[in-house]
Amino acid sequence: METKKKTFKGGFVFKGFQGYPLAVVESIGLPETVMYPLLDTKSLNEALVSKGDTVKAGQLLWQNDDVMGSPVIATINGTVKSIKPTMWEGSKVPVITVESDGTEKWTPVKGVTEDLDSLDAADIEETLYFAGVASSGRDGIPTRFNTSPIKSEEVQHLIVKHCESDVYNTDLSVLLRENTLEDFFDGLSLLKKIMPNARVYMAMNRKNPPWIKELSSDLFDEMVLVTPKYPQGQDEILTETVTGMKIPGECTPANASAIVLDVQTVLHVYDAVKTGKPLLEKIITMAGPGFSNRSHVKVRIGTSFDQIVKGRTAGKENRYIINSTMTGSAVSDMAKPLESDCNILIALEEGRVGEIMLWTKPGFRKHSIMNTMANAIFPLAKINNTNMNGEERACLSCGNCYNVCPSGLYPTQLFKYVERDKVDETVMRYGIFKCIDCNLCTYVCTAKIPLSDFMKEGKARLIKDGYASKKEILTSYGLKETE
Amino acid sequence: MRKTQKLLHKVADLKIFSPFKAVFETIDGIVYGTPHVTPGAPHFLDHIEIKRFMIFAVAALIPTTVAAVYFFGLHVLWMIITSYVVGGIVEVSFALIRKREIEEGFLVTGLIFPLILPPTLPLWAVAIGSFFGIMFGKEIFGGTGRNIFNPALVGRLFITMAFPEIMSARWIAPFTDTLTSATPLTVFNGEGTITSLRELLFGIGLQTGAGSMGEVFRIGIIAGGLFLILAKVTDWKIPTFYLGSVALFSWILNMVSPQVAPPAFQLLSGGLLFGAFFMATDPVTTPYTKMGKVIFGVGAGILTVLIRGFAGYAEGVMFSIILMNGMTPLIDHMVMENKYRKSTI
Repeated sequence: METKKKTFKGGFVFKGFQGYPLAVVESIGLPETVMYPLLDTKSLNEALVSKGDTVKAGQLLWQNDDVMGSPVIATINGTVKSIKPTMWEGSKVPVITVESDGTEKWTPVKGVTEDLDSLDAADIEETLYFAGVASSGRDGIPTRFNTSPIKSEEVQHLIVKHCESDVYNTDLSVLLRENTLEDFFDGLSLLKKIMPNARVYMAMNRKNPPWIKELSSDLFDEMVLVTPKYPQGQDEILTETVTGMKIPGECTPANASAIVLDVQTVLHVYDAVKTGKPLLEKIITMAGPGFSNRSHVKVRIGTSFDQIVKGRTAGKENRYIINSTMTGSAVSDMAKPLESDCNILIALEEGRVGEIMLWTKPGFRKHSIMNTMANAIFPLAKINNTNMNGEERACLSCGNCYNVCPSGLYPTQLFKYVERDKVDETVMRYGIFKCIDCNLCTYVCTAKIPLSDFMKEGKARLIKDGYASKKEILTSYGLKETE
Repeated sequence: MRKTQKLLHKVADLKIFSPFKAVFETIDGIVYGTPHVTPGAPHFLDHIEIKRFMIFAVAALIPTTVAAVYFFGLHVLWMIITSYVVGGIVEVSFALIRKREIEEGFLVTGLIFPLILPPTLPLWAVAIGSFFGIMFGKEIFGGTGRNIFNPALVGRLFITMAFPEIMSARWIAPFTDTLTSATPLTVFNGEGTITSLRELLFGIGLQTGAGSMGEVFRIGIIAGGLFLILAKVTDWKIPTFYLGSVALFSWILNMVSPQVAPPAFQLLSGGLLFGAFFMATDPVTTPYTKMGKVIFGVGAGILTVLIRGFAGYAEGVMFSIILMNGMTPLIDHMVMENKYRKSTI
């Protein structure tokens, strides 16, 4: 194994905020009801169960090999209360509601295997598919089922990431205390079996030396020590940092024959194959000043957010955000269930009341790219709520946006083109497709201009007006087309 | 929302105040901060905003301003107040006519403008300069962020042209009240004498001449300029390349022609330091590209040395920065075209 320090130009370090979670895992017990939206179908008849049926945790609820992804599986034991079409992010999809019977047991996917070495790739892939693990991560885990846009043999780079570059991150010690380090390595060798041609990387926060030492193993071809600055953890930038291949925003690592997974997914792989445990529960990091007590919790997938945050909100008016304060979406309805792609749940207080004479105060508790209101030196926890912290003004060309841009763009200039309706070859030549939607330009903007929204609009319009197609983008960046 | 804020909104909603909506909005923004929340990702934003950005520049100017009042007396204070009042009136009336929000740019312009004037200038001249600078340097282009030329320099250029006699013979040395037309630069142009560099640096004991009220206390200017760079409000490139190219070209030209002053004197005399740290770093009127900043600094440096050495004016900083301001869009365009000349996606 070789160890290399790698990083990218630009980016921004988030540190010293309010509301970091404790490194402990709590259980919130079994939920009373769980919901499973069948997002990839419109037909009620496709569900494999019907109302009143008894289901076991691990049982298949829906399966369609024509659609990319894993089957939907039940995560608790109980009875099907209803299957009805419900409005779900703009379209009607069938939602299965299951009422728990209060038992924790689950049905193994396959026979429990003690001897991991005797398994061949086909066994592992089948287990991962039926355990629901194969659809984890941006591009899924490639198997002989339809779970990923690329095939197993085509994967040349397998990147396991723990960059800790976001505002709130999952604690590695929590994950590796629930399972052990050996489990992680076993999971990794199982993945290596599926993707035999892949070079395996571990992308690790270089400011976490104890774990770097623990994780050093010959299972990795390369240990990449990355600087924990945002957006290092975002797949496009991480792939570029690790492999040197630029991924434009409209593409995924799969186009560069790379698969990016996080540590928890590797542990799920181990659990599924070794003990036959399907993807029933996840460790969710609950962070942010909106929670009264913050920790990591073990939650069954399908539990509604209401049940997850119960007793932690301290009566505040909160906004709940999935995975990242920078790119994640807010939970629109707290009755909605947790889906398997959620790792972090952040609660930020809605800052509807501005602070009096905010702009004259020394910024001891303010997080800012300008580091002299002493905010860089004073170790006081920084305030973060959803207030805009200022009014929108004309662009000053202060330079914050292009100093932090991880793709080396000039967002201020691209914004001016899009704002004035001049969306043509010029913005394309200025590299608008390199934008990976990390939203950092909007974050640091002095004039509070939603720069990243203009970038998204510009890209969408270029594709709509026929200036570029996804295929042309892929060819110009030397990437491969996928399904 | 706070009770007092609700009251303010009620007053602002009265019919007689409807033409003054922008004023109430500004008071609301200054005192209570914004009640708006982020519409989506990113869900929280950096604490930097335009008011905070501007207050940094004002804070960096405090040593210079205090020194100016100390050196030249209370008249300086009146000049600053005049500049702010006139600039404020122009800004507010334009905002009301255009039905836009009042922008914060004049907070800095209103302070920089008097600091680049001779210390005994009559208040009416300050008022005219401030009016002209903010009106024709900024508002007619559309306000802060859209102007081409530095408004403070436009104002000074106007009164230099319109009232040459009061702008050239109104200097005084610190702690004196005898009017003189001799600044260290005019003294050098006339007699070839170089003022002691130590006196220039601290501004105290300047016998041979004086300068604009903000440029005399040079230690304070350097401290303020470094503060702005460390605070990441201004970029280090323009001041570095501006001062560096002045030093380099005056060193070369000084060997060729004695008309050009030697580098150390060039750096410490006139408005060069003030210009390099506070005027050439104005983000709006200088290039945004990294290479453009370098070109801007070097270009302004060459122009300064040439104007000081060979033109009829003893001081060249104002002209060189204004000229380079005018070239800024072109520089940016050329740098961008050069950087992205390949036609790719």
